Amino acid sequence: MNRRRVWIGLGLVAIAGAVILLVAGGLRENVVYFLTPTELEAKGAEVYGASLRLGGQVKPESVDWNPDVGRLLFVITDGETELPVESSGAPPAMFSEGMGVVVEGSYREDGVFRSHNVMVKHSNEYRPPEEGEHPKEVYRSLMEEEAGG
Amino acid sequence: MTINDLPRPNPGRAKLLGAATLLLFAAGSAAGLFLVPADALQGEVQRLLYVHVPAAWLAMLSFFVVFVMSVLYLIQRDPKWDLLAVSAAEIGIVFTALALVLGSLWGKPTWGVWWTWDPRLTTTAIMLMIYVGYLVVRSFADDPEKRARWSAIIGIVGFVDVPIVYLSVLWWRTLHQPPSSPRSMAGEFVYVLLLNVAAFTLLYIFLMVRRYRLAIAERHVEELRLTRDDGRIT
Amino acid sequence: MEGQPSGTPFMVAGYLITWAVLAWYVWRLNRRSVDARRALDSAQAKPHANQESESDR
Repeated sequence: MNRRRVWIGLGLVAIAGAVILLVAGGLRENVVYFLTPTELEAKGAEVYGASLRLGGQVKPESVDWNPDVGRLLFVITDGETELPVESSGAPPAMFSEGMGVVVEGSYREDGVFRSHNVMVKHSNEYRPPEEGEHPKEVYRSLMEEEAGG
Repeated sequence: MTINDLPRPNPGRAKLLGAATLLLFAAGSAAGLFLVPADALQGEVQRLLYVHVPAAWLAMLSFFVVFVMSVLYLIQRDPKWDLLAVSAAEIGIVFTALALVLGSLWGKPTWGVWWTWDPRLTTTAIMLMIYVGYLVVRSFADDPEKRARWSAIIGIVGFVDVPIVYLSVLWWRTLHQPPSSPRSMAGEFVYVLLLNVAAFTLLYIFLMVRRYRLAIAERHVEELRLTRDDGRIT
Repeated sequence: MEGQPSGTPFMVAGYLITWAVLAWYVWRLNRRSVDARRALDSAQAKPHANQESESDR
């Protein structure tokens, strides 16, 4: 009787393990939270106008923020392909050049990604500020330069 | 093995445990808030790491305990494993919800959104649903033996999602960052995080002792009611 | 961009919520334990109290 229970228990554990492998294995291939610029460009006309997410890095020196009309232009890159992104409204505080971002919106026929939501993907690296470095202000001065220039 | 054989806990030792937990927890919060400087890039908001990560850790630890207790219950049919499982499940739900709320508060000023359906957040939300479902199923079962058996099965099968939650940031593209490691964090930050993980883990033991004691008491009450009601029917 | 919210209030809110939730949960466990013990005592005091059980409610 007790041995039967052990087998039932082991069987359930085995089933759970199998489900992990199957579900996760299947999901691994199919779950795509965002496309890279290269993938998006490859899809091209197929996805014009479709609502999707695009992820990559903000290309240095590509940020053009116009506070008067609240329009943000920048180039998103995965190191291989570059795509221009146009967004309305101020980006999150941590948005800066070289930073990872995920943008929500749609790819237009003119090759511009029109975004309604810019999200910043920060890394898992944390460190105290160095001598003379002030958190946030680094970013602020950068963005003010951008806005001014 | 019946419910009457369950051990009576020692209240004196629980008080000592409670005091130690409170002390360590206060030290952890103080260290996270005042001892270390804020992160160079994120500023003050990064201090949420010291409570968000331990909360998520306890959620996963709790559900692992549910899994182990569920397996033990199915093998031995001893009600104490069932009561330990439900105790861990309830505590796990509290810490899952806490981790989600803290993550949301961290996400808004850094990511720019309170919530997004990325694989880490989605699998965590599913994890919360699974264990809320676990408690709901229990509340519908009148027969203690059947309740224990069914919830043990949920406790085992439902655990499938827990490693997926952890691995989601490694398997898939997410907005959530991968797990922090001593290599990705400054040393002083690592120590404060470890202090808080220790404080939360001690809190977990404290809560488990309290919740398990409550589960035993409630089970005794139920047992007495059941026998009394049986007497009335016949 | 100066109008961007600083993260500090989010951080403070997070710590306050953590303490509040945990204190609430410990308080709930105490309350439930007291209730359970009371129910246990009254149930044990009259184990065959088929009639009296009506007046319990």
